[in-house]
Amino acid sequence: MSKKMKNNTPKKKKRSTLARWFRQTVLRKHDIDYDNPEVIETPLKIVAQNFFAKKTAVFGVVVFLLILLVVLIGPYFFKLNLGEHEQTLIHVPPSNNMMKIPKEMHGRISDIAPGTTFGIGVDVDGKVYSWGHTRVTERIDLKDIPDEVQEADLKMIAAGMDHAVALDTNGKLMVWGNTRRSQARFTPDMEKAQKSGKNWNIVQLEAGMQVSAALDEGGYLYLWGNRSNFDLGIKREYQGNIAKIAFMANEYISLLKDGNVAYTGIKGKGSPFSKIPDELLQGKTVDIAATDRTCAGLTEDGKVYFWGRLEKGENEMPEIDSKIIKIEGGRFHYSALLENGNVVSWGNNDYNQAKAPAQVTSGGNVKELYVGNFQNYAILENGEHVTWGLSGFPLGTDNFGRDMLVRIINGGRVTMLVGAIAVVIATIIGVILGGLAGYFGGTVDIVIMRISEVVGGLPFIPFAMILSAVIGSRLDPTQRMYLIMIVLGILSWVGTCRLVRAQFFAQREMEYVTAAKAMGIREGAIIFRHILPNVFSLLLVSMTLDFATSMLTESTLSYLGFGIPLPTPTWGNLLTGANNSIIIQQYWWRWVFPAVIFGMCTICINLIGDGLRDAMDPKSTER
Amino acid sequence: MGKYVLKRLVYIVIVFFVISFLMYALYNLIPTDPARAQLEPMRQQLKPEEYIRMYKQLRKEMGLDDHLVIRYARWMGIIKGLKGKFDGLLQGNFGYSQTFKKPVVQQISEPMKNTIFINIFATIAALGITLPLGVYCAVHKGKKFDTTVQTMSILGYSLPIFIISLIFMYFFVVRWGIFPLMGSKTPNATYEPGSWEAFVDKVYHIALPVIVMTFASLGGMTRYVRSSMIEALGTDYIRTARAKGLREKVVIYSHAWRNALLPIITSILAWFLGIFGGSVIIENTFSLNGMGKLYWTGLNTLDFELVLAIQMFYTVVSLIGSLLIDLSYGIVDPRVRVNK
Amino acid sequence: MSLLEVRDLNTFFRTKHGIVKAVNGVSYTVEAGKTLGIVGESGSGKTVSAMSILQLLDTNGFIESGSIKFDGRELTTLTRREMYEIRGNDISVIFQEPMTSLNPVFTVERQVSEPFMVHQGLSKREAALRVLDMLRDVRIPNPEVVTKQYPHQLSGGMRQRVMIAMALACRPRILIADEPSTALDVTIQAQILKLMNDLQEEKGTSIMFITHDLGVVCQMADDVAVMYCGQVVEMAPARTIFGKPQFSHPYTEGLLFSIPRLDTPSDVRLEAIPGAVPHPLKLPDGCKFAPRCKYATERCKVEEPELVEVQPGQGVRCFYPDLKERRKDG
Repeated sequence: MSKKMKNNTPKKKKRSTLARWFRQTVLRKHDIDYDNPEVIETPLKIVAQNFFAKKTAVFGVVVFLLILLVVLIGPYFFKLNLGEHEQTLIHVPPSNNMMKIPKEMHGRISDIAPGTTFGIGVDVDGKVYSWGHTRVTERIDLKDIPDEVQEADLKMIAAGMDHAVALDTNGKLMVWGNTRRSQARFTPDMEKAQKSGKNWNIVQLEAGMQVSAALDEGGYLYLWGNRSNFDLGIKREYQGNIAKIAFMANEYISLLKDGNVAYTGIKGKGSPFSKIPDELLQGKTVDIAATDRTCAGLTEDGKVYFWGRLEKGENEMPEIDSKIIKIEGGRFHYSALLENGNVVSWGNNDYNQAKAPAQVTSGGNVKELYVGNFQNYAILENGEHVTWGLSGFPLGTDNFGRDMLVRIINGGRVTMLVGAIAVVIATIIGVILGGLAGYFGGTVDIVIMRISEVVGGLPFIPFAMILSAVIGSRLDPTQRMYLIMIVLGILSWVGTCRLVRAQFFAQREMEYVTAAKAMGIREGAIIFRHILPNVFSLLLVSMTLDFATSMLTESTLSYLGFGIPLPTPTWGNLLTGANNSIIIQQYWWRWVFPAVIFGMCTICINLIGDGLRDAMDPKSTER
Repeated sequence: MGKYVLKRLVYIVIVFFVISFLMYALYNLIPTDPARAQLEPMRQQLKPEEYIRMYKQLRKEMGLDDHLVIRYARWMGIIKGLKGKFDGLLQGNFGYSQTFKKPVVQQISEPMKNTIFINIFATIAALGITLPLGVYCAVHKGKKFDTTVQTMSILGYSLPIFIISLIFMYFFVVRWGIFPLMGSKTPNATYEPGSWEAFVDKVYHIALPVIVMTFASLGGMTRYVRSSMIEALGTDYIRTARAKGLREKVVIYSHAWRNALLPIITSILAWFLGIFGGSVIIENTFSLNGMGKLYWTGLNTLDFELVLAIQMFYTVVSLIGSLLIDLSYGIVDPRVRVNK
Repeated sequence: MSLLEVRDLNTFFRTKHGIVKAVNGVSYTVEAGKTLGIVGESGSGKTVSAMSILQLLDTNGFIESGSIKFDGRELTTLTRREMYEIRGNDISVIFQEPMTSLNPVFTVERQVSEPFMVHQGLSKREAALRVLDMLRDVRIPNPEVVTKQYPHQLSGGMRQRVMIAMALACRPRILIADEPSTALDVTIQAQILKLMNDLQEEKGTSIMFITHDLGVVCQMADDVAVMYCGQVVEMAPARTIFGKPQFSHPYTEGLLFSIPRLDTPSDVRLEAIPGAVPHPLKLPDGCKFAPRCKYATERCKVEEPELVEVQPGQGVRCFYPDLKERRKDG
């Protein structure tokens, strides 16, 4: 070797050794015999070829990647709200028709009553229609409209949580739906008024949770329904002076004929709703509206004033370039009709109910506006309608009214994350212990193998439950998630450990090790160099399969209540409590969807693992 | 063979003590204080200093301040208890359940019977199906039937047992109404314990859980039996046996089967433990009065001695299982039984 | 008439990548009481051709065409049941790996007695006595002890003796020995070969001796078939091949040159055949050996030679069978 070359070598060597190491260990590309066509392909390539030749494995990869993508990216679009609890949306089945007005009504809308998960409407001929999820209880479906209602010429309509009220042109009031909570029990003075016709020229019909109200032209207010929570009373002095009312969740407020706002109920003392802003007591109020926990009053000059429990942004009204002429309240949001024919919505936007489409915010041709719960219906000048808000839940809701889709996507992320990290922990422990046992052999090997026997012999689920219960009782939910990862990792390293150890022993027996030893190369070095690629491929298989197992174990623990605690969703605890006949049969979406996606996921991982194993097994490629 | 058995026995006894000590230590991490619990009702009537004095006295009486090792030994029954007698686990005293207010032994006797009953039932059923199925698939490897079973078995071992339970509940209970949804006996039924009706009712109630447990273990086990059998069928000695002119049946069921049995036996242990672990889920899902359900209740109510006793039950089951496996391995494999 | 006559045997294997023609038109004969040596590299189809005789192929292998006549009886058309009667009774096999060819979970007695019970209908007790005789025949010391032992307790040589005892149990007419001595130490190898020779003399069994070791063939065989890529490239009496042959296949020539001999002049270097056996799915057109043959001509690369009888008893599959001529030309 010339001197010049010698000088060059060190710099060059550094790079080439690394590359060579990679080629030799990972790709196994050394000593290619070009006379011999069969060995040109690297083992890795052959494995890949074998793997992708298997249809089931490819199917597994594709579906798994899809699920992974959804679960990884999904949470950014479907944000999880841990405190979410919406009483009116409990156990809604998969649907997207909550604002789907029937074709027959298009262009002929005369009144719309947006219910919780449904809508009821009347067309210009006084005919009634319903849409959306109308099944309010196990037996009662608002879709079953009584014949007398169907046949009547309706004038007005209102919808509550589980009942609907209709008024025909003859002044007849009809109630259907759930009537077990006095929803259809008219008060004596009402019946009297109805019979006599005096004070019975109804101008406003309202329905709240399980209560209803009818307001006469003369300012007489009739209230009926479930009194247990609702302030259904009216102070004598106001009777005959009421111009408009608005329902909150358990109260109502009234706009009086003198242009003032008043809490006309009897339980108003100390209530935040009685603290009406002064501006609304100047006799210049023209409209009122209410959400569940707030009220709003509109004055002549188009200004809106809010009061009540303003917790969900109900008062965060945007800048408006026109004058408000009408205001309507949903459950947690307001929508207002402007003088210029535009609409503006604000407040809580969980279901896009405060996000009015451009067509109505700048179109300038809105004629009428119906707002309720999470839905908005705007009727345009040309008779067409525009809707925004909650149209339904593609995968239904659970027992807290939470969107199953959001929970499944976010639950998947938790389950996969826990599974993946548990596998990584298990693999690290397994490789270290297996490596130690295999490398040192002797006493170290015996001790490690005994430990692994003990750990492997423990009944897995009970033991994981104990660890989780004993240690987890003092942890917050996030720490508990880490705990589950660690527990799963600590209990499932045995297989990896044995695998690595076996590789060490197998390689040690190989003749090239003896040969290398004879040449004075340290046994350890050569074993490590040759074991790495072997173990790498085997580890890949065992990690894929372990990943599925870890996910199964995590979900099992969570299902039993000893894993990730609610309300953080995982694919396991979504199914907690699903083992009763009502959920299994009636609320099928609560277990079918999580079960299907979870099952798909683990099946795909197992298909991938199987495919990998077959692809790497030289025996199976011969066949 | 004798030496081998003895070795395994000694090993298992050591493991038992190690695990039980670890468990005991682990449980002592639970922030419970039986002394305080016992004094709590009287707390209102006592002056603070009196309360503290009594509390300290009680802790001493209950031996709560002693070293962990000493408490463990007392609990295990290796050294004399507080009343000057050997009175621990080894003497059959499993402690007192705070939740059920009775001795653990009384509380667990019925659930233990149920659990062992359903587990043995499920094991027998699963083995009865998987062994022939796996062997048949191995012999007819690559045929349509085999491929179908292979695909189905992936389903079987990929789905967690509670999802399988829900699916079975949907069909067998809700749809077809064949079995009751849950419980281990008909509510308010009055049978004489031990009578035929009681037995029938019990079987009727545990049928679905057992079916689910069996089904859940089919996938993995069938695959394992199949691959062991294929491996055995591919060996040189099978070729030798065929070259001898033996009938294919003899080759498969005598020569190959005996060898395939070795890895199968090993996997049966893991699988048996899996079934016991799985029965925690099954018993909770089906509200069966078994050890798993009790364990769950105990953990939720932090019932120290009850959970510990049940955990020891699981440990003992797993150790006995591993001993049985070792023994049967010795019987099947002459390389273990007969030394050179 | 020959005891065993294989004619134009084609045995193929179905694989994922296509049909592998492992045995491609092989013909040879085994004479009664004589030994046929089949020589070839691994993958040359020697074992597959022998296993075709007993139909002991892997599940993906099948006999495509050809005839195998044993004592005048066509074997390829026999039913499975009839084949059971032939195996181990008329024709038996000794395999290469004594370590793995015995069932580890059964005693020697059980394994050796099976042929007696299956083919001669002996009871267990009778068979056990015959086993002792057989073990003595294969020169196993303490047969009473060995018979109760398991394979893992025996050494490699002892196991191969047990294999031989098992194979010869029913006094087969033909013994197929598939590399019976390859896995053994040289001294044990010699013992086993001697044992086989002795037993052949005692019992008059024909032997089909499959090996890659020319030295062993020289010692054992009466006739030799040299196989390459699923074909017999040369068929001749052992005397002819190992003597001073006039005709020879270049492959045989290469094989002979690649082993050291006592009579090789010390200044002559051993010559290895260059290259490797071609992949079974990518066999060359023309003569299969052409790519490695130093005498190959253009004709060899295009046209495939037939097995031609160059002199009585010797067939060579080469266009240039005459050694002297082709050396001169080459």
